Amino acid sequence: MKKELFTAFLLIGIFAACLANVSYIGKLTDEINKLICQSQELAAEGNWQASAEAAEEAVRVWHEHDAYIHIVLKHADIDSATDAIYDLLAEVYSHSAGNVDGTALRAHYHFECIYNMERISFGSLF
Amino acid sequence: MAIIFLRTLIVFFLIMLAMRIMGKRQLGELEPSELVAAVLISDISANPLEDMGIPLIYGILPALTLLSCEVLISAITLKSIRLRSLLGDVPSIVISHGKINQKEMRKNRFNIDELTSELRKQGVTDISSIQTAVLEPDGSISILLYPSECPVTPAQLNIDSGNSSYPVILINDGHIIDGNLKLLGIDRAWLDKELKKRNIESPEDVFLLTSDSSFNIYVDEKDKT
Repeated sequence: MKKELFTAFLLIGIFAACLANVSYIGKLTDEINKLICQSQELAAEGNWQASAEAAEEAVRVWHEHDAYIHIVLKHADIDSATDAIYDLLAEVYSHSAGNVDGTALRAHYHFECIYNMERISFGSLF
Repeated sequence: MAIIFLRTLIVFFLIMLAMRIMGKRQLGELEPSELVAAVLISDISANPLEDMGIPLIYGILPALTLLSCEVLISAITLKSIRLRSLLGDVPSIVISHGKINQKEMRKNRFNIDELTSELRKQGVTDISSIQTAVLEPDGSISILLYPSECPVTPAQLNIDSGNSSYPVILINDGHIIDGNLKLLGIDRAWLDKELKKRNIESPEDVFLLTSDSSFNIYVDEKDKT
């Protein structure tokens, strides 16, 4: 009976950890997406200094969670998201007003995808 | 490379633990839920070893989930006959009073070649001599012959067959198994005496020594080469 109880708690524990992971990834991608949007808006206003700061902050937040995301996310997804966010930073540094919108959208899409893959929905299940 | 090595070790010990928790059955005797878990665990756990871009947790988490499900299903089927029947864990009578139950054969997708092969393995060639044959959940067949077809026993012939018991290993490849000495109520001094009787100097010279409770001893000495 001990074995069965242990496995029942293990199953519940795994499910709880999965839900906690979805919530954590949700908060993380949300925070980064807000910074990306902020950077995009500031770039549109011509405030390149503040836009760069917002994009740098997004990069910093993403790298701050490196250990965690490498445990729970596929490395290919991490690499695409990291590339996208650095592309945005590069466009902001070079003050390319015409390209910031596109790269910001791409970065935003990558982080949205990461969350969509993790969250429980009909689409992600099947 | 070091990561592959460490990941392989982790997955190996995890699967070993899973199999240990699932129970001491041979692969051919697995029940459906055990087979599903065993196949999936080995397949899913291998993915992070093949692709370094997949986190190890993608192998560990499904393996633990499958293991938990298997243990829980086994526990529930112990209590619930209905669920056991639903999962196909109930035996089927495929031969009754010397006649093949074709309906049960079809239901279990068990063909006549498989049936006759299983019967031959058990030394039975004449189906009419079988009172009952049961297809067990693990795919093996249990046979009950008609009493007139059963081999005679010493008891039926009033022959004294002695009082032997299951022989236990006392020396295994030169190593004395103290627990089994205790089981038979003997000690190392007794063992040394028995070895001397057979002109064996030390237990280290013995490959296998077994004895039953009547002290019928079997000794196999180590090859000298």
